[in-house]
Amino acid sequence: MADTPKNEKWRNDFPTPWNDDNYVTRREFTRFLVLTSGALTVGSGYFVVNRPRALAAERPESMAVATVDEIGVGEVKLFRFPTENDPAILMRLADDQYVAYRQRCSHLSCPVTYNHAQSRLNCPCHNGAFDAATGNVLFGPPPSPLPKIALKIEGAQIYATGWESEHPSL
Amino acid sequence: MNKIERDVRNAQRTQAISVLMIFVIILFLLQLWLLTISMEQFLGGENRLAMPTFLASLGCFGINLWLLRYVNGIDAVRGKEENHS
Repeated sequence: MADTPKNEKWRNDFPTPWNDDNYVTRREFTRFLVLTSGALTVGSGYFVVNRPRALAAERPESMAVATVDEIGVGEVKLFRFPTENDPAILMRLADDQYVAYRQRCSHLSCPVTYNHAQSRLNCPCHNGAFDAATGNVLFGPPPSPLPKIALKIEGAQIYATGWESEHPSL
Repeated sequence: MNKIERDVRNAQRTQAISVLMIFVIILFLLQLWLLTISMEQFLGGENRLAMPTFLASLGCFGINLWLLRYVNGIDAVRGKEENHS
């Protein structure tokens, strides 16, 4: 069979001979990987430049989060403290016992949920659990306790006043 | 260069590119793992390993760039051979 003339228009769109296919696709894939490798390096650099927030050093303003009658024993109220980007959870463990924690798991920041029957906070992402009364890790991958929010009850109002736990960075 | 010779050269080039690609993939996966470590630490509120993982990742990228020179080198030789034929 005679060769197709070199000036065929379709050659502009398909310039690679079929027997060079493997060579060209692997070459292009390798180049793409090297480019992506650069992006991964930049991604790693992001974590050098941006340090995690040192919550223990923050002195947030006191904030009213609930009234004492608003939640029953075993119930929770979700709120934001100290900023709108910080989810927190207030729980009533007993008639006169209220506790509040940052609602982000200390492992990978998944939201934790309260289980009154087990008296613990569960993280569904990687099966971690925290003690509801202290915030300490019971089991699972979390490396540190949940940051505990200091509460103050004045009259019928519950206030979040700051951080109770002494974590270097949260 | 006759057809058989050209085919042999093509096969050699493809093999060389495949070996380079495997090295690049290994380094790429290593970088991905390093990034995962940094991210996991960051989300956990720490960043002790951020600098070491960044430097290791930078090293991998440097090696990848060095390997890319060979890819381009193979390509340049191929271009010359095609022009001659």
